[in-house]
Amino acid sequence: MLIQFHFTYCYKNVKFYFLSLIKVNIQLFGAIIFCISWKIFHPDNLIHTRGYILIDKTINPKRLIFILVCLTTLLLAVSACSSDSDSSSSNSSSIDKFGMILVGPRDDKGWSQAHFEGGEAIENAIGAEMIVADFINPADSPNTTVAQVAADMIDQGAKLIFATSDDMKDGILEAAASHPDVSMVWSTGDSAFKDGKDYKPELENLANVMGQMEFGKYMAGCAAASESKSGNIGFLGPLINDETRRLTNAAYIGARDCWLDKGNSISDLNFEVIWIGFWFHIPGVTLDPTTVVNDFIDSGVDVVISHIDTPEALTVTDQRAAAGEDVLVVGYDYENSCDVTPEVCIGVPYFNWGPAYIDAAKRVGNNSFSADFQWIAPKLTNGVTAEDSMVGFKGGNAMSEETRKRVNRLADQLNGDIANIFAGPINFQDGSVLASEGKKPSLYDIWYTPQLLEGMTGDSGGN
Amino acid sequence: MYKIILQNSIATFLSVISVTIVLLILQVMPFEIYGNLFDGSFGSLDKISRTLLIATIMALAGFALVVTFSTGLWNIGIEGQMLFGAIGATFIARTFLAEYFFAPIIIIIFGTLFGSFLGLLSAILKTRFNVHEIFGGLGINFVASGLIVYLVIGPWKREGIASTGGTDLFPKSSWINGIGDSNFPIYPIIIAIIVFITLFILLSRTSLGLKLIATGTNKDAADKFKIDSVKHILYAFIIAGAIGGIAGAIQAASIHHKLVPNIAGGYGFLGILIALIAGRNLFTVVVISIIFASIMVGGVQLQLRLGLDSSFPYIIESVFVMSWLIIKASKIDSKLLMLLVNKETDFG
Repeated sequence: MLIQFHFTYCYKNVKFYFLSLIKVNIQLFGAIIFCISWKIFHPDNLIHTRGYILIDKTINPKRLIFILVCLTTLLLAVSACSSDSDSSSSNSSSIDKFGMILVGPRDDKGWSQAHFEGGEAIENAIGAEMIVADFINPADSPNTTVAQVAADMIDQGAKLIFATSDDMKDGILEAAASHPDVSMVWSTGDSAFKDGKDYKPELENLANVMGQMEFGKYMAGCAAASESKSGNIGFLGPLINDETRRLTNAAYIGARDCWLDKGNSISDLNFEVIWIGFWFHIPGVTLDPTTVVNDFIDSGVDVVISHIDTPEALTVTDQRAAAGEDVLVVGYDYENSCDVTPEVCIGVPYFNWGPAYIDAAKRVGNNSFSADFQWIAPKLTNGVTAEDSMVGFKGGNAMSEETRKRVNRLADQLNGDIANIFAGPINFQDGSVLASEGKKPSLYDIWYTPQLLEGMTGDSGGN
Repeated sequence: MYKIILQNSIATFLSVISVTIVLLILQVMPFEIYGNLFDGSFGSLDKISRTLLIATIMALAGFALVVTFSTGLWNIGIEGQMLFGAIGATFIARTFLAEYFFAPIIIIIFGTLFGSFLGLLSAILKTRFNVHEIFGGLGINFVASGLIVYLVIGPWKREGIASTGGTDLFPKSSWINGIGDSNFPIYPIIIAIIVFITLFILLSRTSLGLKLIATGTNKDAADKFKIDSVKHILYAFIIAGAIGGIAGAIQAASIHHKLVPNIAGGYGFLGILIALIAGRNLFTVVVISIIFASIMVGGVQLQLRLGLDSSFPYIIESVFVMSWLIIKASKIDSKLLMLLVNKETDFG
């Protein structure tokens, strides 16, 4: 019954004859089982089972080895099968295979799923086959490094590798150095940022892609403040680095602008950040996001903004709302993550990696791939995200019409320039100046944000 | 000797059959899986190197268990000892010593010291305060992993970053590299062989080994014969901790090249499974470690080539262990052996 789906199977030009295998083995097993049942369970013979210690002296090892060898060779009753032709209809203008290395599971309703669907978009657009490796992080896969996975993918014919987490830095730099002929994309990294701190000009095959999520986070913060009654907003942060600091700051600026737009005083806005320590929950290593969100709500927070890869914040908020509390949440990363808990979800700032990834795949296909640093701005018209925008904001069921209009209006005022988000006067937590009155910070200063902003509560990760 | 080898071959064979049955129930082709596992773990020099490196670490973890087994105690603190070994390694890698060519040696020595310190702690909890070694060991694991998280996001964090993703990479001079350009883990293997031989001689050829085993066999009797059981428990745990520390230091200096919170990678707990299978037999520890390592390393291919879930290697491993334990507990293997070989012989 179990073997009905394949009687012969071909692996690497070797054919396994299951039917004949089973026939022969059934006879053997039958004999063995008969012996066991007869020998062991026959009352006269029970004493024999106690005597097994004496086998040493009376054993005939040759006989047993012969039987074992027979059994194993039978298991491998194989023969070469007609080599089925390599179905690689090599098309000069497109790639056959590409690798996608994910830090979490491919269906996490968050960061990794957004990348996975970006890969699926390539499959649909140019027909290339995606090789996926998920859970590639030191906690889930301690014996697997990014460089090893990349090497395995290249072995299988991948012409393009996507490493999709900032945590993969060491591994993808190593992989890019040891496979200079294979194009790679390290999403969110800065190895190709010519003015950047970690510019690696020698890695001509490693590009970077990131969306200007600052816009999405600005809208997320804005929507959160607009829906908040108490002005207490909890921000569930992952780990602390340049990227998370600048995105958290953008969320705060959005919250500030909308809070003031509602006619409130800035002193009533409490924006608290708690970092769990990694992009997602690792038991025993990071803080538990479930606990953090519960603590937020216990302390009077009525809107939680999630910035981690996975949607725990949505689930917890939904539970608390079901218990009668007036709490709402903003998701992150994945366009449809509001579907997890539609009733309490104000909206989600999301990534749409498809267009950028398809572009990279096409450029590898026609040999025009280069180690670019792309920090792609969203396509917003009147504050509404276009279909093919790299980043965007999608409203959920819990977003009121008033908030929707406010978010769209304020987002539209940014004119698509990321520096407008961080326009002065704007100070860091320790009072140092990011941009003075009427000035805008440079892209470098925005990318390498050293601290959280004045007015926010939370750790900046400084020494 | 024949008997043990033959019995274990039968047990392995039967375990593989039960794994096959489980895989068939899960509607995947077992031969495809085995083929990919083998190919992924022994298909190229690079893959063999990876497999042997992981096997070395698992075997060391298994050895650490075997030592305390001989005194009749569980060394559940093995994960903590590995973590401490890695902490010791990182401690050295962050000092000026890391720049010298002999840095790997100092790293291993410090890993050993740190690990044995933690082993000693377990033993003191057991002998002085009468804490059961399983609870003491678990507690110590928690302390060690708490400490490592504190170090990684606290004093040893990357500049301007607070992430549990790990510390900065060690300087290249302190990496334990392979031989020549390849990754073949010659030094870890040499270390493991030294540990193996030392343990073998210690446990079977020295009076200390005999006293350890005497303590394990019957503590009260050992005391009557003026063998200080407390002292020997301390010895066993110090030795076990030292071996665990070596494993952790290798893990840090040779695989990750940095300190990450889960640096023990669960190999300590796998070591417990290995010791469960192997009993006190050091050689079996090595064999099982290689099998497990090939499942772990080759398991990545299941995901990459067959698109299977990344939990498959763990399913295979746990089914294997479970059926092995059932087979051993019910003595099916020895009964089968008896039937196959000497149906006629009357052992009466």
